[in-house]
Amino acid sequence: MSLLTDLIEKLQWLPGIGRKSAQRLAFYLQKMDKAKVKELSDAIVRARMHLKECSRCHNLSEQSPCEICSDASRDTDRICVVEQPSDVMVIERTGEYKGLYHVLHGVISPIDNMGPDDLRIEPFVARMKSENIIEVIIATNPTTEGDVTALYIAKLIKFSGVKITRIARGLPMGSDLDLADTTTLSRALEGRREI
Amino acid sequence: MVLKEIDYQGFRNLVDSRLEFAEEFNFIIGENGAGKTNLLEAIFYVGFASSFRVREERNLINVNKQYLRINARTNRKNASVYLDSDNKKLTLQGNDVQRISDFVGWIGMTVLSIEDIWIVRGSPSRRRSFLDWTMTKMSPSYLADLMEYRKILRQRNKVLQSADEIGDLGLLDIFDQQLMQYGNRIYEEREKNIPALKRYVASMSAHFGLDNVDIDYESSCPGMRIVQDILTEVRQKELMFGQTIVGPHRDDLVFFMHGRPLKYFASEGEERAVAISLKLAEAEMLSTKAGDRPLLLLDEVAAELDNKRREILLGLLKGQVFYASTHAPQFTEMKQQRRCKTFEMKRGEVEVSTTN
Repeated sequence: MSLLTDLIEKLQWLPGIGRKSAQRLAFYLQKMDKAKVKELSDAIVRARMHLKECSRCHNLSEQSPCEICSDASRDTDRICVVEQPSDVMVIERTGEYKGLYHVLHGVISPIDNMGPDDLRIEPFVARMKSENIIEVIIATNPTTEGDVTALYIAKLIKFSGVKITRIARGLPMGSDLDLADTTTLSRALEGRREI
Repeated sequence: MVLKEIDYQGFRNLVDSRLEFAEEFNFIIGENGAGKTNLLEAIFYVGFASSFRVREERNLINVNKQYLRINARTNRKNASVYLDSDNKKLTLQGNDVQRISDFVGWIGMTVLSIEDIWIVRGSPSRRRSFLDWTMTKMSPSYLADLMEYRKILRQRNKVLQSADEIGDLGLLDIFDQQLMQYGNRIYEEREKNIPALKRYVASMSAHFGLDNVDIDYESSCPGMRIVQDILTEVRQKELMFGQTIVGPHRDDLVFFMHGRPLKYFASEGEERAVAISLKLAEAEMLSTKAGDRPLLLLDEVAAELDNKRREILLGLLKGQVFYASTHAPQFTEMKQQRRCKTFEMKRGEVEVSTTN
């Protein structure tokens, strides 16, 4: 196998990269500065080798506990439960949330053989017992699986008596009602609030 | 609504073309295999982004092509569907549409096919599928709820099957909630539409000389609602079968004539007449709902009817009609009265089109 076809094949290991994209990337890499390519491949290897799950919130970080869990300025009595580490990054970017996180690393989906035991649910329940929490915000995706996971977790931690909320879902900002799809619109109506 | 024109590329065996249609009657004439049904299917596909014949949509792409594209223009709107091996793109009025449930129903259509007799004669799944299509056309959000409901069913069945491995029945309680939420939305929508269906089927079949035809909705849940009590009652059974045994996916329609179930005594001709009445009833419901007649797509329907019923059927067709048949129709009188056009097809190509 030529070096080129080998590279193209391996790039296709990545999600969302088909044969065409892999080819494009492979050829692009050949045009790039050699030092840059080295930098890129080193960054990939370093990230993979040195990132680990935080022992507390299970987010990916170089250290455990992670930067967020060990940040003294954060509200330690609030936990936001998310599906993936990427969700933490998105919420952090808003700058609105100052509490802690808990990353599940997936959602409950029996047909994909993902049950509660395959997620970081048990350590979450343990946190509810050991930490002093007053509010849990469940921010799983607004999909069937995300809803099921949210309901399941809510049920599990009901014993704690803390406030449990689910993030609101509805219309994207700045969008026109005209252009909203019917499902989103009907959910937004369901979740309406008094003003 | 009137379908003014359609152009298609790479659809089944059809030779890429652009066709302009007559406002009332469009006869599509040709031998078997000439592509008549494919043309009807292409019209349906640009309306509903799915086929009334096959599940695997890739089969719709011509074997020698990489993709298919259909553009349609009505008197008010335009839409297009594009499909290749990875992507499906839908547009309405030039805008991309992400969800199929926001696309279906941009134009109303009712398909009458020779296979419709199986709605009356076949298994309950045929009748549910008829019902689901009709409801989807009546309310696009029905389709979104139905797709969600089916997903929940698959998940819930998996939990029932592997209750030991997945462990706790706590998870099943959550899926019960979801099943009730979405199942009951489907029930509500069906409940709203069943009375009209009964009424129109009765009046349509009366035209065919069948008196007192009635439909019973046989629900697996009393009162057409899934409630916790029912789920609790069937829990052991469901765990044993590993299947969800109550809900809209287990219901059926039963046809009666003079109070007796049709399946015990009806002739083939009577079954066909009831099947046609169901489809015409759907068209009436869509007209009432949208204030606009759906397109009627007829695939060889008249071939199996006797002369008398064929005449009756032709008299009942309203709005824009696409009528596919092997033989050029006889009814010259009607051709003179209505604005019509004949498309003669050979080997996937429209060879002659004549306007009357």
